[in-house]
Amino acid sequence: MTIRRQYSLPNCKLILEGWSNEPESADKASERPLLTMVVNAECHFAGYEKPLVGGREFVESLVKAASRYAQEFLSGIPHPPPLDERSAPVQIGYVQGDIHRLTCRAPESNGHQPADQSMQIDLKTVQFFDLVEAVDQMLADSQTLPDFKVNLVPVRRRHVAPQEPVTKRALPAAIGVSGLAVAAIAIFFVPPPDLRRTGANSEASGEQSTEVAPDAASSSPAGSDPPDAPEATLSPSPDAQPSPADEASPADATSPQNSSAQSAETNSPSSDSTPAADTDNLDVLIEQAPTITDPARLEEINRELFNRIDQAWRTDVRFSENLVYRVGVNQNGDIVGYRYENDAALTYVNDIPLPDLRSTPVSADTTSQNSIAQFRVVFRPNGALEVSPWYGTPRQ
Amino acid sequence: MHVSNPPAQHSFSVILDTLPDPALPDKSCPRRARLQIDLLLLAIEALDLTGSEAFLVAARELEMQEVIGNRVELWRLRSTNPLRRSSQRRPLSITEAKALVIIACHLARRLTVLIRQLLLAYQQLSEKQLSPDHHFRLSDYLLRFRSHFRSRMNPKRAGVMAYSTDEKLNSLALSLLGQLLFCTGTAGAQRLWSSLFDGEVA
Repeated sequence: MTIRRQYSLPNCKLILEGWSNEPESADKASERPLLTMVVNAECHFAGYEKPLVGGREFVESLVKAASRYAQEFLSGIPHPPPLDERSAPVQIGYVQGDIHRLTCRAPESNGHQPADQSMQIDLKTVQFFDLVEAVDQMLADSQTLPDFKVNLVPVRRRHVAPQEPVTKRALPAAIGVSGLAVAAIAIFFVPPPDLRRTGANSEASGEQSTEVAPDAASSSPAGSDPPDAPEATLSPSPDAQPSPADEASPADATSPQNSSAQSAETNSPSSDSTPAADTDNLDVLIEQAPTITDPARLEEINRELFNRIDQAWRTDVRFSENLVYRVGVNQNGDIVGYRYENDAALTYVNDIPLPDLRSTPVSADTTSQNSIAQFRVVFRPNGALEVSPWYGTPRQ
Repeated sequence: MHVSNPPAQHSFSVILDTLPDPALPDKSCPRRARLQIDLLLLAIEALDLTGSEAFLVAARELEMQEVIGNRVELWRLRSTNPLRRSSQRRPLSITEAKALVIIACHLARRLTVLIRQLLLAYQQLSEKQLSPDHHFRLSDYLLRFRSHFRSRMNPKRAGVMAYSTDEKLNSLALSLLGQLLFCTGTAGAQRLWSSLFDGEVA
C-alpha cells in the first residue's frame, strides 16, 4: 500500500509518496509505517499552481541544493556544487535583494512531463526558509527515508574563491621582496668599514690631535730618522728650561707611543707635531680607557707602584721641593704614562726613575684597551716617596 | 520544570554534541564566527527588549551555567567580537561558541512569529518600494539595532566604518533577521554552526 507523507509550511508543501520494503513494519507499525522508497514527490510553493514533481533523484537533488544554498545564505560564502551535482535537476542560486531562484529541470527519463520543460521559481527569503524547513522536517522524520542524510560541512578553505584578485594580494609580498632587493643593492655599494685606524684624522688636525699613539705612528713617514725620535718624544733634556715645546714633551713622553718608538718600522713622530699632539695624551688615554675602580685592585697596584719606584730611585736628591707627578697605571701594573704637576717636577724629571720605569707595551692596542688607574706620586727632597690614588681611596 | 535532572553535566554536553567539532587548524573560533555570533545576539537584543537578560535565563534553562554563568562571563565571550569597543584578544573556544549558538537559536525559535512577521513586512514594503520606516515594528527593530550597534562597536575599526550610514546598518539588520529565521528551523543550530566555519576548515 502507498504511504504518503506531507510536510506543510505556510509557503511550501513537500509531499512524498512511496512504500515500505520492510516486511515487519506491516504488523506492528500500523500507525506510522516506515517509508523507504519514494515513487513520487511533489513540492508546492505558494503562488505557483504547478508543483515541482519528480522521483527519488528529484528529492535528493532538492535536499542537497536547498541545504547547500541555505549555508551559503547564512555565511555569505558561495558553495559551488560538487561536480557530480552540477547536472542535478534542482539548482538554487542568488538573484538579488532577497530573491533566490530555484531552477528545476524536468527529468528526461520521467514520462510524466515533456523533456524540454524546466521550471524557474523565484523565492523570497521567507519562502526559501519554508522549503529548507520542509526538507529539515523530512530529514528529521525517522520514519521517512531513514537512509537519507545530509552532511552539513563547512566549505573548505581551498574551495573559497579569493576575495581579492591575485595582483592585489601579491602586492604586499612584491613590495617586500623588491624592497629587500633594493636594500641589498644599496648596501653592496657601501664600502666595508675600515678597521685600520687611519691617520687621516691626526693629519687633518695634527696640532691638537687626540689620537692615541698608533695613529701618530702610522701617520708619520717611515723615513724620518729614528735617533731623534726618542729624544723628541721621550723626555726633556735634563737641563731643559720650561719652554712651551718642552712643557709638552714630558706629557708626550708618558704616552704609549713608546710602542711606536719600539716598533721597528717607525718611531719618529715629527718633532713639530708630536709634542703638542702628546700634551694631553695621558688625559686622552684616561678618557678613552675605563678607570679601575675595584678598591682592592687599586690598593694592590698602589703598593706595586710604590715598590717599583722606591727600588729604582737610587740617584741623589738634587731638588729642594716636592716633585709631584700624575701617573697612569694599567691593569698589569705597568706605568703607561705620567705627567708633571709642578714646575720642579718637570725640571728634575731625569733625577727620578719614572722615565725608565715607563712601560713599553708590546702591542699598541693593549694600552688603549686596558683600564687605567691614576696615582699621585710625590718625591720629597728628604728622600721620602709618596704614592696614593689620584682620586683618593674609594669609599668602602 | 521541577523535574530534577540528575546528570546535569550529561544533558549539557549532549546538547553541545549536536554540533560537530569543525576541523580547524587551531582550536579557537575564527574571526568571522566570533563577529557573526555576536551580531546575531545583538539582533536578538534588538528584537527582544529583555534580550541580554534572556541570554542568561536561556543559559540556565539549557544548563550551560558552566560556560555562561553570569553577566560578566557572557560579556567577555561576546567581547571576542573584533569590532567591539571592548574587544578582547582572548580566544573564543569551540565549546563557548557552541553554547552561544545554541542559546541564540533557542531564543530565535521563541521569536519565530515576530521574525517572520518582520521579514514579510519588509518583503511587502520593498515590493511597493517603500522604506522600512512605514512599518512600526520593523522600524523599531532597525532603530534599536542601530543604536545597539553604534554604542557597542568601535567606530575606529574599518569593519565598523563600513556601516557608517543608517541605510547600511539597516541592511545589516535585515540580513541578520533573515539569518535568525534560519536559526528557528528544525536544524537551525546545525546549519548556522556549519556556516560559521565556511572557508575556514582545512
